[in-house]
Amino acid sequence: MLAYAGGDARAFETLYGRHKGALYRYVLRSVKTGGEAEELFHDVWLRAIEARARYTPQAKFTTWLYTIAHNRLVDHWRTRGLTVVSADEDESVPEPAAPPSSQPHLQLEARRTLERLAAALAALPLAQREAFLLHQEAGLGPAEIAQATGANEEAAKSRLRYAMSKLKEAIGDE
Amino acid sequence: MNEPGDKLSRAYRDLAREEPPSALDASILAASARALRRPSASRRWAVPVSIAAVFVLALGLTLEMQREQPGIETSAPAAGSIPPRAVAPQPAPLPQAEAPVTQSVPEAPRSQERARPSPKPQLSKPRDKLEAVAPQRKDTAIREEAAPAPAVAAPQAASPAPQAFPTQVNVAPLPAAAGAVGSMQAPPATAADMQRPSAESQSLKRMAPAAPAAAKVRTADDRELQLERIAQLRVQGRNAEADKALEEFRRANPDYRIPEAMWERVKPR
Repeated sequence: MLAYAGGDARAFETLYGRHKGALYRYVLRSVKTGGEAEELFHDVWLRAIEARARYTPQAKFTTWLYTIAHNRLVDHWRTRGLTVVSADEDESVPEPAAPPSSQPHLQLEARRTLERLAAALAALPLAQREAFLLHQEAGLGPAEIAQATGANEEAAKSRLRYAMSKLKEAIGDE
Repeated sequence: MNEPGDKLSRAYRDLAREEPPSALDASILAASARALRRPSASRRWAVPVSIAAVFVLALGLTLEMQREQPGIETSAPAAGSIPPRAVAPQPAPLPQAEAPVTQSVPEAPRSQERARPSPKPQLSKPRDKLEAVAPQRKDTAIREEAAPAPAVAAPQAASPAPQAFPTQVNVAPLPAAAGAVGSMQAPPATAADMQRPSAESQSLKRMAPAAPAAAKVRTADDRELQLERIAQLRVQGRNAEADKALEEFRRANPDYRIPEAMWERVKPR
């Protein structure tokens, strides 16, 4: 980010390439609808671009980026009265790709597992889901999750533990 | 928390494979390139703001110096550099100095003014100015050496100063006069002169550690003030302006978390 702020456009391309997928999925699973996710994703990156001169490497770039994303999401939720869009809307999350398997019954089982996981993830309370997504997608630990979401570390750790426990239960991995 | 290879992580990896559409990628990358082409607001204002900051800092330091040690910013270098030369090379001309005592009194401020820009007048000043400066200093020095005269001469020499430097005198006239005259004559006064820089540096040292903390508090205060202004706009029903201000605030402070209570006051209606 410092290189980009210094005028190196390619540095941003590298950063973007590294983080775009994870950030997109984090936003997508936080709002559920593709249209909203794209709008918010775009907005988060624009804010990061505009704030480039104020970026200081006190924290990891990832934490900084997800702090911006979290704040944008919070604004989004607040303007909608904190209601989470239901999962059965028209613009729902695309069907996950099935894992490659040549055996139909294994393929079916894997698909069911993914469906259960997707449902359990969607059913998680907002804060727990966010903690899980930040952990899985951004690779953040409890301390960094706490930093990005403005929670204390114990709360972040607890949210993550609860989320993983519920998800493991959903996929039969206890 | 969980190992990369555990079942939950693997299942999630299988589930989560979405990527942003390529049109979105292109749009964001184009925006990033555009942002580099046009200088950001902070860069546009960086030079003028730096220049203004330097002026303000210089002015502030000067005022601070005047407040703490009036006259130090003008007379200290000239006064400090002269006494050894004025006193040492001319030990004998006491009788000659008796006459100029009365004449030199009204000359004091002018000679000080002339001495101010150049601490070494012997090298750079023309002959007439040199004479105007040097005898005056000698007179003062000699007066201080002569027993009865200096007690009277020193206040007299200092008294015209208020007219020449009214701002200094309004603040604290007496220490200036005492310091300026005293530094020309005796070791105790010279020691006092030497203490001046340390007093300044102490005051600067006192200010230095507080600066980053103060800047942080100022930034937080600025944000709260901006939000307060937006809240006022909401109260006044100027929602369009408030929306715009809130959007600008968000763009300027993307990583700032608006407190819940404040959000209730500033949120879009």
